[in-house]
Amino acid sequence: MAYSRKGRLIFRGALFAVAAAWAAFVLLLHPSRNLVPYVAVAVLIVCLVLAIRAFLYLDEVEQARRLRVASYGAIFGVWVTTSFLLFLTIQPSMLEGLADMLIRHRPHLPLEYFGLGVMAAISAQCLCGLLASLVLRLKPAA
Amino acid sequence: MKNRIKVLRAERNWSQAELADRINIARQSLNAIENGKADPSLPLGMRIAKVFGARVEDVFGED
Repeated sequence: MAYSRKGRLIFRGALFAVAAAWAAFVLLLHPSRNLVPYVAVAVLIVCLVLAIRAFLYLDEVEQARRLRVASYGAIFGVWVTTSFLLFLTIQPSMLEGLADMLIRHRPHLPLEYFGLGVMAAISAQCLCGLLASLVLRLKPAA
Repeated sequence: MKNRIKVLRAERNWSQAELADRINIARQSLNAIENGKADPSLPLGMRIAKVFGARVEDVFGED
């Protein structure tokens, strides 16, 4: 797919719109928790498709830079997630506190702990990707 | 990799945005190539050389 500034902007805009709609949905419909996981999976798939389409509209230099950023971000994200999850297993009270903060009912189901773990992993990947993007942008030329 | 894009561009009085449009890449990418922060692929290098009407080795290289 050839470079197109317009195409990239459209798909990136759509990606942010879907993410914003998802945040609004979670905030407004959080009590109907049965619906949230299904919508989360749908939103994740839509976001992935939009992100891939936006990526394909970049030129080769930008694509290479984004892949480099994503690689560093992924490695850093895995390290952060592993450290965080290990810390939670050592301190189960922290895990309970976190679960209580996000899901306000007891007892928590195993699926909810799994969901929290997945959410932590995806959030860490996104944040570390953004961090890597900032660091690599500020890095002077070799 | 060193290149003569900036010189060739100045000779033709083209802005970075204008050249980026001609070779169909983002201006930021052209800036990165021009300053040696990124290396273009062979097809893109050939495209750049073509818009200048020069050979690839006249645009890119150590000299």
